[in-house]
Amino acid sequence: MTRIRAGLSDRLLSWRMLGGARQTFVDISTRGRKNGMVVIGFTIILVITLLAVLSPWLPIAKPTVLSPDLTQGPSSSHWFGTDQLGRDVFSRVLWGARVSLTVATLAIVFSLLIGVIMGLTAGYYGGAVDYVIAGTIDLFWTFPAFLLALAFAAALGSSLTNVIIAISISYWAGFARLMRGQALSVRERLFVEASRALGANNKRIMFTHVLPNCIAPLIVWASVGVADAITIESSLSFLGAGTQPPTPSWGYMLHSGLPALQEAPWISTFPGIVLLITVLGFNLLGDGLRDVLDPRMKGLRR
Amino acid sequence: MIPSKGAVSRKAILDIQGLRVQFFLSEGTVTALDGIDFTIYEKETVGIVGETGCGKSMTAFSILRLVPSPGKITAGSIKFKGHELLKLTNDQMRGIRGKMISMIFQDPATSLDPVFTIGSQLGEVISLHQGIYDHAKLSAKVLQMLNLVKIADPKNAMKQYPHELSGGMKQRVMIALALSCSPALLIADEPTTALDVTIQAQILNLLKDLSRKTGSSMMLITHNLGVVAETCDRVCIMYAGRIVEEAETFELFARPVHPYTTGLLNAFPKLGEKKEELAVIRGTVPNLMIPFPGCAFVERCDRATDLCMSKKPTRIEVSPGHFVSCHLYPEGDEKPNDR
Repeated sequence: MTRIRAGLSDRLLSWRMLGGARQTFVDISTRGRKNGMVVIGFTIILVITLLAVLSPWLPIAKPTVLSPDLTQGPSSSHWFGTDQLGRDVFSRVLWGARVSLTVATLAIVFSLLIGVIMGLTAGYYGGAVDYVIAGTIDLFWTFPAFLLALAFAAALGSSLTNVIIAISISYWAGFARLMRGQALSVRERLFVEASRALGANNKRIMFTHVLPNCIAPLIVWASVGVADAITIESSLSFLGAGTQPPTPSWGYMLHSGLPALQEAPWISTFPGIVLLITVLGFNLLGDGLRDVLDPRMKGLRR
Repeated sequence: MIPSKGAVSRKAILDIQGLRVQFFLSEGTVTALDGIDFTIYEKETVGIVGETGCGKSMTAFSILRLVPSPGKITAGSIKFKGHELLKLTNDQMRGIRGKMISMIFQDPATSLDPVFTIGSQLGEVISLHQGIYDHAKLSAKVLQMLNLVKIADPKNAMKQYPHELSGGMKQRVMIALALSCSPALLIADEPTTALDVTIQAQILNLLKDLSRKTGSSMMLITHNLGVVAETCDRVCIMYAGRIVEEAETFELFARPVHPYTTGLLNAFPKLGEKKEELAVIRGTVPNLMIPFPGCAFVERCDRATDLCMSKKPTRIEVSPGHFVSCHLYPEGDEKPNDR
């Protein structure tokens, strides 16, 4: 066991592996740069992430600071206008991005972790293990992810952590399902049999042969999943079950601008547009990666 | 191959007795291997010949204890260097696979992991079985293995992915993987079937050379009698999950005794001989799901008798080192009675 573990960590650190991984990474990024969807999606995500990360240091008003300019339209001092309490909408959108991106990314990372472990175990071992896990996956899959997240968020009480937990619980089944299907097909391939015949144990085959062969669709799903998670988080906040004020969040901003939609459309419109663009960015990236990561494209250097 | 006579004192590497493998399906029980006996001695190449589905590959998987479910080894013993493999724990068995008994598969295109470089796959096996984790040592060892299997530009090949290599090169990598720990026994399951004819000879010569160099025995599974004639010291002919004839290669080609072997050899075109039509063995392989009390070959045999229908023939030695399971050669009778 310790030998295997030493072997694994060594394998990950070995220069040959790194060399191989670096080569793959270079390959993917060259092909990615030629894919329009990846370029646009990646640029959108990069810009929004940078703005979100840097927002505390940008020369903009603090999102919770009240100013005497109530409900003012977009101007040079307030690019996106101000809301009913005089807060700068532009600043709140950027600070809201911090919340949305963090929650969505963490939720997808957790879903991915649970999903991959459950799906890999089920697909690789099959039999009774698969029966139990696949049943559980189907149970979660039956409910729409958003309804499930809403139920969990309402039950757990609204806080950032609980929103992440709620989204993870409702979203992992998708990854598990995908992973299980992939593992089912990869475990039948001859190189799995070959590595068993060369003395590898199940854990080793699962994590060093089956999983790396399933990574491409997982990355694609994860990218699209972040877009989904952003939507779910915003919807939860919109309904009041997600991020609580005064923490700025896109969903809550949409909600609070709703009564004034006719007189001051900018209060909900700008967060809505940014939300739309962000979700679009992740979806584009996911769609583009689907083409880029296709192993059949590997040899093609156009 | 010149047969070595008086092979009594040789040391057995692998000794299989009465091996039976059965598949328990919902439709019934399929007996894939029905009492196999054979021995592989040190530094020898044994060919296992038979048609598709006769249990050649199943024999190989049984030796590695990798019979796919719902198959089970239900009887018999497999002794490797005197140790009973069927009694080992799974962990002990894993230590044997790849280290002491290695296997090469039919299709090199799919038996390598497409997402890792050749170097990292070879390195994995070496560090797993030999505990070498030092990068410099490991890459030196990998390079040495790639050189051994005569891969052109091994330094470059280490960094390549399987899809960047040709079929023959991939099979060379598989051979390097299998031989990396100098196993005592190498099982080659139709190693040349998926390759070009021109590459086949190269790969066979390489296998022969390397097994001689490393001193390992080889079990060569094939349906090609030409391959056998070229590489093997001894041959086992399998039919419907049984070994029907076993002899040294020269002896088998010169004096085949089992009707199935005779049929196989007749069906094989010889160089310089003009045949309008190749001889065929009539009929098809019996359904292994229906247990048969007699000889499996009875329905296709021209010389079958009533006894063949009712009683399973036992394995007898017709001449030293030449075994056959056929009622035409009654026990105790050294000479074939109608040839």
